[in-house]
Amino acid sequence: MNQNRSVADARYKKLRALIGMEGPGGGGGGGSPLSRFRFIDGGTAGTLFNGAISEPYKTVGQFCAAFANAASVADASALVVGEITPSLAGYAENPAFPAYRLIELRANAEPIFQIPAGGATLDGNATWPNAAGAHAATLAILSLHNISISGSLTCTDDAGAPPSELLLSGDEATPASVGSLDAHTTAHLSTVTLWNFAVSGACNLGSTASSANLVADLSLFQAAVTANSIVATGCTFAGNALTVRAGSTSTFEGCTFVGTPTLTGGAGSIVQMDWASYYSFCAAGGALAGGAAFQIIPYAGFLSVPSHVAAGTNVVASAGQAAYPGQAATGNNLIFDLTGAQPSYATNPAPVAGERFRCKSGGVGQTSLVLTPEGGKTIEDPSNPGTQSAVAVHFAAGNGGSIEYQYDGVSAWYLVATV
Amino acid sequence: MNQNRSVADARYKKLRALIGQDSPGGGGATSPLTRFRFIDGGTAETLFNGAIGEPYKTIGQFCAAFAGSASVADANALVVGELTPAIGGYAENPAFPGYRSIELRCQSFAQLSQAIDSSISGNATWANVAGGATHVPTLATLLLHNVGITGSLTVTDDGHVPGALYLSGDEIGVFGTLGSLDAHTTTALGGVSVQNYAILGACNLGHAATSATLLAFYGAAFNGAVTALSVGAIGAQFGAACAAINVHSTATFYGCLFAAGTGIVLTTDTAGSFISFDGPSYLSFVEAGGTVAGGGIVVVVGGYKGAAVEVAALPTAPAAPVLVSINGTGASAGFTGGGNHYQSTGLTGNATVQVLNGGGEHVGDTVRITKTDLAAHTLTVENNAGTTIAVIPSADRGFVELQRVGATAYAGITNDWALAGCGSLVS
Repeated sequence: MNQNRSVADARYKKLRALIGMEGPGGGGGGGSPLSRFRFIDGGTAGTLFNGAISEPYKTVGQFCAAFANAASVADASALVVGEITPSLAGYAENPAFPAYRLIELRANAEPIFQIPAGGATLDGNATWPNAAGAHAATLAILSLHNISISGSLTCTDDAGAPPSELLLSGDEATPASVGSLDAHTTAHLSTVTLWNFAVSGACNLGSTASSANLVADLSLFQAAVTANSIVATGCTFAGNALTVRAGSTSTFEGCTFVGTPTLTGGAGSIVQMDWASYYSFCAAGGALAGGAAFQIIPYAGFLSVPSHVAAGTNVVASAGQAAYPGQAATGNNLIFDLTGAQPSYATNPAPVAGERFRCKSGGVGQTSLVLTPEGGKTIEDPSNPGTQSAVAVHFAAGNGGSIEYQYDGVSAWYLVATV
Repeated sequence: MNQNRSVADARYKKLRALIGQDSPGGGGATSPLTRFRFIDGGTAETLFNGAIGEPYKTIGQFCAAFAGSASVADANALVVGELTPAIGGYAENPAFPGYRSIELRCQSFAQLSQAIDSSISGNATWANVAGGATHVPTLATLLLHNVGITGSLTVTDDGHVPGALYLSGDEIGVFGTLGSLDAHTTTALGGVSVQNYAILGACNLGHAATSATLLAFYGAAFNGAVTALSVGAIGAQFGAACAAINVHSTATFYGCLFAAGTGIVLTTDTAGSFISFDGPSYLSFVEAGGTVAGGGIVVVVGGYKGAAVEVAALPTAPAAPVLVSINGTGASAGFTGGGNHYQSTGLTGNATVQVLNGGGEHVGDTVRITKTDLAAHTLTVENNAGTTIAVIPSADRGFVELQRVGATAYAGITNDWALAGCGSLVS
């Protein structure tokens, strides 16, 4: 029987070769798949399911199963790609992506999530249990490109997992999306990168030292975001909560906030925003919590939220940041209203070149303002222009006006403007 | 001869069936994937079924294959045509099927202004209307991705199925391009999205209440007049031949560039509609000689600190406080057009300007009041509550900047305008 089978197989192969379907290397055009690039068609009537374009997998699960276990470290470290094609009913399944390896699921089609069903979208919940892999890649990656998932994407890992990354991207006119993203238990997932991608529900990467950092460009977050840190460019945040790890640094450039966001960071965490992001954050009613401090980059001047310093209060440096009552800690670039107060302002202890801050007085009833730079730095005295000193005094009693300083990047705060 | 060919074809098909190569949906050399088809204008094959081994030779063949739909589910689910480069491109006038979602795309750049490679040399149409074998989808979409059309794309509909048109590209440096876009007769085309794609001529979506909204994202470029229900543009460019933008209601421009010297006129049909810019966009608009017509209210993100929206000079001897607001709501006659920079020159009596909460401002917005000369009268600046914020003295000149504050008290002021800065101008 085996002999017969062997003969039949040989004849079959010969027949295929005769009509050009079995070229060297398989070719991928006939019944033999490309070695690491496979097709998936949910509507196929084929039955071999080997990922060749003529015998595509019918489900994403079949594709994942084919690469469930790497044969070697080299195999685990080399990318495999699944090309998903539109299907009448979409893909109603809950795929589990293989562990410890590089794998990409992509589509060359619009990830239209507006359409109830069909296309190249996944209708279900996906997981990436990055655990107990046969061989570990140097860097394990799961990449979803132009793939929308109606439900959740949950990532987990185990102690043996290699350093890992999750890439979620799209290059068509509308962003691909996932219902929610949960990777808060992972310890080896270093980065989650989004580009032209939307997360409809919570994006929870955890906010501990072993949690993943979130790097997002041109992406949309419609609910709460939690991460080790956030670096976002051109993103929209529609949720009411953003949480980052204590001591982390997060950056927002060209971002829009349309919820009423509370950005929570532990002590020592710094939130850097360009003026456009900060303006949007303030206009949306945003607030900092948990000891996070703002740095506005570049100097945002008057677009910063004004802060009133209570009468008789001294502004002091604290835990690496200038702090004052009413706001647990703050960075630079704020407008300090000094009406009726006799404060001193301790400058940001870790300024960068070109960084500025401004203080203004309220006029009548104003007393003098004492400006004190951090240790090792000097400040120009407006009453004696051109002279750097340890303390600058401005605003004679009863006078109003404003004063603005810029840091030289080395050790000195220079007077930029005074009125 | 035909008989011989027929016999040969039958034998060929039988042979393929024997080895499992002609099963439906097989997707192989001659059997197509179910909803992803290949188009090759240079193919020498003759079956034209969209398989990679038997690609369609024309876009028209692809469109014809999906002219109707078998069910509502079929009408809702996307079908994709993968256009591959061909010598001479595709010289045809494809008519994309309506009442379904269809994408024509290619994985190479759309050559700019040349009918070669993967571009269409001709005029395309999308008639989103019921046909003999159509079913009614939830949404009908046409998507062109990395596909250029030298001529026009004309979109029509029968008003029954919501439609959406996407024009996009993901290649570097060279846009997908379209000669012109005309969808002005549609009544159910909700939106047209343009990203990394250029429309070289007019983009006319109509400007009626039932017309489509234009959403232009990064890399979108318009080199002709733009007409739409409303416009939302981020990172888009409006070229030298774009001298007019006409909208029914609102328009928003963030990070946009307007070509210098166009003297572009932005017209709204609905007086009082917001025309919202970020600072760089408004500066570019003004530098291009741009003006707003039809009673639109220009609002700049951040107010004066974003970019100055100049207003007519304040009266020289007002009998009562002059009321102003960023969006013109509640303002005195002559100032209902809004603005964020008000200037006073030649006062003949003491004057007061009161900055109102008109509803168009956000926390952080700024307004500047300037007394430009040494007129021997004072200019008092009040906030919405009527609190005096500052007085520019008689025989002096200077400016006062106010910032809108929120619920957090600032110098005892909440949800109103507070002093952000002031200065004396050199005599």
